[in-house]
Amino acid sequence: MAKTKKTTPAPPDSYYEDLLKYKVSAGLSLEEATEVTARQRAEDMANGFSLGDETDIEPDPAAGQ
Amino acid sequence: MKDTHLNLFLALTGATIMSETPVLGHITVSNATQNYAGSLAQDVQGYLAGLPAGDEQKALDALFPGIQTNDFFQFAKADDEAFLTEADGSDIRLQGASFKRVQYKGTTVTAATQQKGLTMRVDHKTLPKIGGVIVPGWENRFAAALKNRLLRVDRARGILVLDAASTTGGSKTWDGTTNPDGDLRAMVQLTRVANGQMPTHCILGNAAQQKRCDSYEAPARVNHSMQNHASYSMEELAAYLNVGKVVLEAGIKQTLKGATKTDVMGLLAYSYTSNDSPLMDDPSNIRRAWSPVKGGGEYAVAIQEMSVYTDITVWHESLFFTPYTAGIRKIVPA
Repeated sequence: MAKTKKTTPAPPDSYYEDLLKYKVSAGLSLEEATEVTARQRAEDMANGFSLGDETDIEPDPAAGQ
Repeated sequence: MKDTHLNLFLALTGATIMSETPVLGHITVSNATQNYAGSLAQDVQGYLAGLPAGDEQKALDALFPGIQTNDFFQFAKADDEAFLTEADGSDIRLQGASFKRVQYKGTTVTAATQQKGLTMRVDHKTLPKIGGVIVPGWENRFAAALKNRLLRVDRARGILVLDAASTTGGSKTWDGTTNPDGDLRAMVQLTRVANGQMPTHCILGNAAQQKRCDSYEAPARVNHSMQNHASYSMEELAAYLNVGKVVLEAGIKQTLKGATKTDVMGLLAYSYTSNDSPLMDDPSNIRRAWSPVKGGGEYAVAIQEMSVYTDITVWHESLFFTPYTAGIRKIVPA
């Protein structure tokens, strides 16, 4: 099974700060968001995978729907 | 302006009403000739209670089974204590000694369900009439439509919470030379190790499922031993992955009238555990709590009738929460 392991440098701190904000805005508590972000960062550091494109699955509150 | 109750709408159908507040064992409506859908669907607990669960409800339940709570509730955050094992044999009592003393600490969290609802103003001018009288049963149709709309956004909201709580090992290439189901199997195993048990759920976004099929249908795989994976049903895929179920999330959302419809989930796959156990210390990754609303059911309907229009409000109270984030995994196929 071919995997897409890449040697992309680890994302900058600002990436994880944005990731934390996203998780809180999605409904996680700050504690949960911090825990999950730290877990993601540890995994990124361990395997050096580049992150794929995220798909927008967030409902658009501005649209009033 | 006033709430219009069951009896008023039953009156429109010609049904006989014996009491305004139905009593268990008491015949409330007794007019067989009028017992068509328009009146039957008007259950004593509200308009929606008598309607069968629609596809949107089933789709939400399949992803996030609901548990009934109060509007304020407590739950225990699961942690690694749930799978502690005495690998050193310390559970074996020596003569004259006490049993090993252990305790589960956990963390108790207080949360509250959120009130979610929509109001639709229905102009009577738009309703079909016979002899100047509006054909009854229309309130049910609009109430059901509003409920479906609330279910759709809750499904997207649940996936959003799931996504936020997930950890990913990065993107995976799914093409004619790779093995998407092997990636899914690896994802499931990561959930198992991190969470402590095989996941109950693996969900595939519609685009991910299309890409998965494209991979196994590639010309290079003609007569290949894995070509049959393209035609796996979700049940067969679940058996192959050894998970509780695989759910194809093919939902469509449209966030603005006239806007392009998009996938609720798309090119993503997740694995996680979510049980409908009423125990609040169940080691589910994500749960959907709902608390009863007016009438005692999961959804409530309020009808405010004016001379020329009627406002129909449907609302419910629920909350997605994540008692245990460890093990929620995501794959981003590329």
